Amino acid sequence: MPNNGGKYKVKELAELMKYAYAYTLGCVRCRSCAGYYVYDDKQIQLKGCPSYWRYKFTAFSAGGKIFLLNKVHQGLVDFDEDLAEVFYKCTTCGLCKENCIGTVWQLTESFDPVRIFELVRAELFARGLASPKHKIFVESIIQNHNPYREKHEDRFKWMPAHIKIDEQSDLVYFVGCTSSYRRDEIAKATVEILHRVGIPFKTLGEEEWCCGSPALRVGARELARELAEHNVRALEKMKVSTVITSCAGCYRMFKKDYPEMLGKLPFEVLHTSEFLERLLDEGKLKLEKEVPLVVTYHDPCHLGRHVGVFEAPRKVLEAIPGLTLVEMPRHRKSAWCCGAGGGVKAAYPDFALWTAIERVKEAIETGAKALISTCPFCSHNLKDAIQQEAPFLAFYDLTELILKAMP
Amino acid sequence: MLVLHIDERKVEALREKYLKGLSWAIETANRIPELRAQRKYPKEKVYRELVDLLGEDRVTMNKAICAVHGTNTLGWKYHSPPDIIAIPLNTEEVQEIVRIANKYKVPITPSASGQSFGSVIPHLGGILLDMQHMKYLKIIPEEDIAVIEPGVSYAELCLECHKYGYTFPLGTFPPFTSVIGNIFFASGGIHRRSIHGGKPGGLTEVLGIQVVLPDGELLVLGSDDPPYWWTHSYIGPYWQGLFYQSAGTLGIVTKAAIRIWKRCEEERLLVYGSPSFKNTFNFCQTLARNWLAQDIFVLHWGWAIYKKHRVRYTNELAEDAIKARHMRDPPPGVPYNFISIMLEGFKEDVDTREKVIDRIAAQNGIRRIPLEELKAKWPWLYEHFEVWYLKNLPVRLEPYGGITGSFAIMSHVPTHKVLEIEEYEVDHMLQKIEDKHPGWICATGYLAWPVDGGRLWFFRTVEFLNDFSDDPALMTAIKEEASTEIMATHMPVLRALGWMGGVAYPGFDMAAIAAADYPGPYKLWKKIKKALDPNDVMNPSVLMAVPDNPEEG
Repeated sequence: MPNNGGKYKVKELAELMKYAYAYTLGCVRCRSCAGYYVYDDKQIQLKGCPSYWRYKFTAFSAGGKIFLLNKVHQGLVDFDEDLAEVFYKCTTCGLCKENCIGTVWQLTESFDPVRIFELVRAELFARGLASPKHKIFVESIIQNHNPYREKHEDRFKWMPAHIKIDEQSDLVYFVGCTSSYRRDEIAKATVEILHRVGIPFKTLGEEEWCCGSPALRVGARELARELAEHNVRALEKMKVSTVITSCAGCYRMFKKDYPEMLGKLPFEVLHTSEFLERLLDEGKLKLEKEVPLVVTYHDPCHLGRHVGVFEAPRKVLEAIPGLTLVEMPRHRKSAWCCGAGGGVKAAYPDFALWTAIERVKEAIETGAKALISTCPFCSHNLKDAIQQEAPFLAFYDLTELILKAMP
Repeated sequence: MLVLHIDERKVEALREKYLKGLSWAIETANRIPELRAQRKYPKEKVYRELVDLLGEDRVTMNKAICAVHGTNTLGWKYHSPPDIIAIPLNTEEVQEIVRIANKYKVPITPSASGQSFGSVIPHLGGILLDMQHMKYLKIIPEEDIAVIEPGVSYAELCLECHKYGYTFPLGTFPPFTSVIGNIFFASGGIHRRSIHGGKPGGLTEVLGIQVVLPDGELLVLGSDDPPYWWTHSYIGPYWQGLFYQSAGTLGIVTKAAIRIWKRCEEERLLVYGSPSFKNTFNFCQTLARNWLAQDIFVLHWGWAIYKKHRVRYTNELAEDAIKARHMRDPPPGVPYNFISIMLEGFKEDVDTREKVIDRIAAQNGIRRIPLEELKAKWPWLYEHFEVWYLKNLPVRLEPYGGITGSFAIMSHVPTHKVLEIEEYEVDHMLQKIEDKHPGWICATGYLAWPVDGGRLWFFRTVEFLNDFSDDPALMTAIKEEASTEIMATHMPVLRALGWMGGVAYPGFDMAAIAAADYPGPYKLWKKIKKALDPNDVMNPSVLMAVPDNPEEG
């Protein structure tokens, strides 16, 4: 039987497959990865994998992809455009891991579906099989340090004039590309909160480059590593003790991927939701204004399922006077993806929008009047869905809502 | 120990038949590329017609997407994907797809839930009819029936039944597998009402069906008028049987009316521990013959303890199980058999029967295990029982922890042979396989239960291989070796002892054996197939593509 073991371009994939091949056979293709089944709560069944439910073929479920990988390892399936289509039409949201009941995800942390799919993407990328759209934004990251083909010098153009940067502060706000160029209301709200609470902070300024998340997700691993090295070096130079970010994608990079690439980071990394929670606990953040609103919270995959931050944003929301938080059936570890991640928004915008519309419908069914999240990229996609499907539903980033409640 | 009455000449004859069939099967399977090439058809044209019918979203020729359906989950090594996958959403679309297949003489392989056991591997290429998105589901409480399409899963059916206060007998199938797929495959497993019925998924559960015949015509057996779905008012033989276990060779079942059961006022789970199978057997037979319980379910400790649980439950008991000396000797404190009993009825009736069952248990040296004790000592077992019985939901599989192969043999066993067969299985079959592959087996044992008031027993014996090699050739070899050992060494003995099973379905790997085992039914099946499907489009690789085995005579 042919064996592809020695034929991988990506060393990590070859290493993984040395022992993972056996695990790939552990999948019985029960499709639980694609479904979501609640025994103890409400006993309902809901869609669990955006890719499978959008594209319908078994291959798009995690089990299908794992089975394909098995065939690739045996040399029965090639790395080609057909395989690339299956592996790239996936938001890498990781819900499959939560839903999987029969196979081996539980056995070892390193046998994580998102990690595996990203390694396969790295192999595809190395073979020139990424989507043209991915190649464009990767090229833009190389040239402009952001995936949006925007000028690097415009990165902080959004910064309000009254906000003072304190170069002596050991707190850095890492803004991220999407907040800088596409959802600057989140960046503005974040610095406004810091300003009003009286917390001195600084930014990386022109040394802030893309965190590398978009590159890593589509398989440009080397580029992601270069970006990680640059950003960490710049932060080390500034001698910072804490980095906060309002982007779930950046947060995952700093919290999970950077340490994997570079080892333990010499500074603390907090998502704004965690930082706000800390400010509330320390009594520094006062939320006094009533915000009489029924809201529901969307867990970004990169913040929630991938890193485990579920409670901080909820605690902050619950601290807002007059606000009522209602949960969607799919929440926390079981949250449905917004649809934007994994390079999907760029390469398959119709799939991204379909996924977001599913989420917006779920939000509406809770009776909430506003959908809240903590990620500019989720915001970007969910707002597109709201505009098309439910213009009556408001959308706020957590930081925007906090501003409303501050005196 | 019993004295086993094994007819050695019968064993030898059965073994010889199997080995001849096996070599014929391998020879035939090696001809797959040649046989595929013989079924030439205008692929692009067929694809275009399917796209015109279903739209681009539901038809694909993507090689990677097709590759997923090229091998079954049991590890059949011949990779043979379909050329095209088509996803119909209703019966009318299935009819049209079948007409297109007929027009161009394209093999068409129906698949219900994508899990792909052997019968849904398109060895001759062609169209894979993927019906997992056909989701029609209607509960008709006044008639005690549910009408379902092939895409309806156990989870969906159960949850819908619950809304109406009903239940459906569950197998050991994962929640997302197809009900129709399993019913018509006659899969075995736990049965909420096993004492009355037998194995789940039996034809007795099916009250009416709609079938798309090989020419695309729709055959309705029963009525498609919902209030009368249950009627068998057609003339002639029991035609539904034609489509049962025929693996889509004679028609494609697109809708079925199945029996559902009203849940009772009181549902109670009793669990017992038995020191030996003899005690277990006497106890269960008494209960079954007196119709004292709705379900009786026996687990060999090797299955119940499941060495795999070291993955999820790292505890001393699991470690003990790994070190256990013999399949006959459970670790200290573990009963040889676990027996679960489900009682349903009015409260007073259930109270009375519980007392009687406790008395019979004591008379047979069997100990009642309180549910709290079960939960504390064997949590995985409690969880399974709780989900199956008390919540009445399909059980999720446990984390397998690298299980890459399993063998299951299942069949009815005549009651007077049950003790001998159990002894052979444990002392000769399971133990020898364990001895031969130390470290490779993570779960071994059997499930068993009396059927039809104790007239028969149903046995399901399973081995799970647990391997961690990255060498596909080595793993395949080990799996094949273990499989051959079961089929060539142990199955002939079990059958000589009275085990009633043979080959459940043919296909490339089994056709020759099936033909040798059951020459009469096999030939009749082929004749009917030729009459109904002259173009041989319906799942041809199961039956017709395999040349007649010289052994058939």
